[in-house]
Amino acid sequence: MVKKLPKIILAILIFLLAWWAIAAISDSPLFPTPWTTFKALWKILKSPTSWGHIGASTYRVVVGTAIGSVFGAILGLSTKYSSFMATAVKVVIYPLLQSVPTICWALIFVLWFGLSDTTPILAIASAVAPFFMINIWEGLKELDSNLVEMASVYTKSRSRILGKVIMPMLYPYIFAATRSSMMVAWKVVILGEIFGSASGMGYMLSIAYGSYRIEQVFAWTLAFAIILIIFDYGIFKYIDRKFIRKWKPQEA
Amino acid sequence: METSGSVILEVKNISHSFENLKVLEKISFEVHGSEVVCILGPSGCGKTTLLRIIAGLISGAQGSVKINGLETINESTNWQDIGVVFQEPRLLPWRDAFDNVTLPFELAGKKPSEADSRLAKKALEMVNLSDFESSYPYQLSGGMRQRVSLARALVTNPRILLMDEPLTGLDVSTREELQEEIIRIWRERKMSLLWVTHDPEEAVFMADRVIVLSKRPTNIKTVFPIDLPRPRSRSSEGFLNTEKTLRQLLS
Repeated sequence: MVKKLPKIILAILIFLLAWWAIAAISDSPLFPTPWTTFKALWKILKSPTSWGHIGASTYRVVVGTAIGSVFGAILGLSTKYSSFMATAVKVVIYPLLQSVPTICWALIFVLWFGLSDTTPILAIASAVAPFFMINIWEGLKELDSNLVEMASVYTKSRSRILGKVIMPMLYPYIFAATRSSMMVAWKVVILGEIFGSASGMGYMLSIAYGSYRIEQVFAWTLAFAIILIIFDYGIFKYIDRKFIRKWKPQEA
Repeated sequence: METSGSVILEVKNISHSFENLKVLEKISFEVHGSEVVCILGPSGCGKTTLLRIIAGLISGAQGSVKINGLETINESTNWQDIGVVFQEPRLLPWRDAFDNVTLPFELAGKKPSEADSRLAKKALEMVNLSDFESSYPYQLSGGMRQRVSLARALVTNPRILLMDEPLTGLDVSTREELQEEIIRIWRERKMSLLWVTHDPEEAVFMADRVIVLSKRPTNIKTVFPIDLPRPRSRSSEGFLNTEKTLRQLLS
């Protein structure tokens, strides 16, 4: 990371320069310069209400992903234990969740639950559940049946073998699913909040959009991107290194 | 070695088929307390299947298996009575050596106590891995991994160890080193060993008695006692002659 720092800074500088150049050439109020955007971003970050909205979105992302993960994981695991569930999940539930656009779910949930936390949370849950199903199937396919046999020397309890042997084998897969889910969840939450909520970053975006404050639209977008990067590179990379890679040979 | 003590393992009339293919046909034998019995057979003869039936890992066999007087066929064994070492170490890669050795306690549904931790430390000491308690499997060599797996099998102080070609994947020098160490551990612990192998030399080095199996449908061709004094020297005339006899019996 430290070694890459000069490259990262250079990339950011080039990006800002390109942005500034386009803004200068277009010379339009519809394309604010980096400077105007950063001023707007600074204003947003200074205001406690903004943090309330950022917090609301984060809360929905975390809760929605949690619900989606439990739902997806249970359905994914059930395919190992019941042939009926294997067919039901693989042929009906998974394709259904996978193919229906998230915006359709969001619309349905707005009709059912109105402007509330529930709408974006459920939209996220239904968008991320397939990630967990598919990753758990991948994990189950790779499952080392020799380890399961070894464990059954000491117990015939399926739940203990699940807890001590099978689930830990699946953790890297669940982790990978969580990581990609979070990225999707952040995108879904903005969408869900734009027309299904009275708070959150998506709501603030739609207000800025509605009042033609384009520099605020840019600023919120930028804030959103920064949060996403912090989540992915900060939190997930850290967990990955600390817990998942600990028992695997480190790649250089 | 006298076959002193009571019968630890009693196998009676074991038959088993996979679909229509008869694999084992009426196999009966006994293993006594602190006795080393090798099951020697050509590859594919079903000796691993036999061991798995005894370990309670395969159900659907006919006959009777008693470990320590308890009927275990098609049922769960008493987890403390047996330890199994497989051909592969079968360690959980996300646990270090110590946590792999305490796994049997956790699988049996108890939180490892102080005493259990001491047993685990002792088992690792016994296989000469005291300095590697917190190493992960990927950091260990093949021979060391198999030692951890041996420690895991020893940790419950089992009455009998079931060994399924445990040294087959290792190079010759590691194999001979481990054979000697297992004999040393066996002398300290006085448990019984039931050891499946296809290697006559290994059988001569380890066993008090060798059960030679025939090809399918497998049954017992002969039971061959080995009276060579321990420690056994691989180059002694008695050793080489016995090995030759076993080789002939096998073919």
